[in-house]
Amino acid sequence: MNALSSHHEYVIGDKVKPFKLRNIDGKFLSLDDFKEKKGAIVVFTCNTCPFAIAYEDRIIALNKKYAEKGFPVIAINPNDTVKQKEDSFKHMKKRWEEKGLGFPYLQDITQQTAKDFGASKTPHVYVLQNNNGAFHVRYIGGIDNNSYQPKEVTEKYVEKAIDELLAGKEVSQNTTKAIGCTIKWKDE
Amino acid sequence: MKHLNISEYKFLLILTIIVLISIKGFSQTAEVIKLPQLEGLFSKKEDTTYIFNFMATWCKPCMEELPHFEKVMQENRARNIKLIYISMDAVQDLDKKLNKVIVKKNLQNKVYLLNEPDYNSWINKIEKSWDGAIPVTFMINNKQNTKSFFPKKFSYEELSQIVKNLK
Repeated sequence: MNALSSHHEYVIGDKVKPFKLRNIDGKFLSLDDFKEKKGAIVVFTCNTCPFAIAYEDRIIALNKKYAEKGFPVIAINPNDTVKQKEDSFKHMKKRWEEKGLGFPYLQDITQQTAKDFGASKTPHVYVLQNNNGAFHVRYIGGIDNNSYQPKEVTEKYVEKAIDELLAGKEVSQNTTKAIGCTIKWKDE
Repeated sequence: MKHLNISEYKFLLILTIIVLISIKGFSQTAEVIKLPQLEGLFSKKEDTTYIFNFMATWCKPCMEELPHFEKVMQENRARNIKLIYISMDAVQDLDKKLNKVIVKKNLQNKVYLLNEPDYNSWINKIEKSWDGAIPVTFMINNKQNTKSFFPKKFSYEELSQIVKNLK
């Protein structure tokens, strides 16, 4: 499916490998910093893709609604900054401040985390559930069913998945398809 | 002030129309379609290979490979091959973005805007292994029963070689 990866990408139920990435405040974050939480909403996103930009407000809203319920957003920018200068660390920090994102915005500088997850585009969402310190993938895909017109959204996939997890249920629709800008991979 | 007679009015009218057409140009404007029409395009029965390139004006690699498609199609114009661009742009951007790109890139091949923003509802109907990233290209000949799926951006060399090898 993804021509660039020659190893196993996460599928539903997989345990997430440890990662440690630099946040816009200069500090490094890993999932260990979230071990008190019920889970996390990992969003691969960037500064430049119009789709990602169209979803920024909705991602902020997800964090506002679910961080206090135990599912904070963790945003990760996986783009090669040589190919996409506006996705540099400096630009990420600027966007975080200007937009008031309010959640961690990490830089996947080697792109290894994106490859481990099997992320292919921005935005690409993985809802993780914390099972005794190990985070497992419970949902992969898009945020809702209308990227261009937030007012015409009729299905909120991520919200539904988290609501089900919070109610102790299995996620009923655990993968969805969505479009986005391909991740800008480094030249090999 | 002198009033114009009928012939002079007609002349002015024709002149105005000619000027307006010249300003607008003869480029195509993209046609908006929904899923049933897309499925119809995918089901053409004749012995022609249809190349469907799914793209969007906001997708940088999509825009970069457009000239390769145009060039390869020009080189293969005598063959039973047709190229159709399927844009995933927002329908609100039809004139603001897509039609402008058609003019700017001088696209000679047919462009449709697929107005189906609920991607999860139809992507699997077109291709199960497609994860939704663009650009992707399909090459389909229903008479010969061939369907190829390329989830990638093409270089000119790759595209030229693949099209050359089409039967």
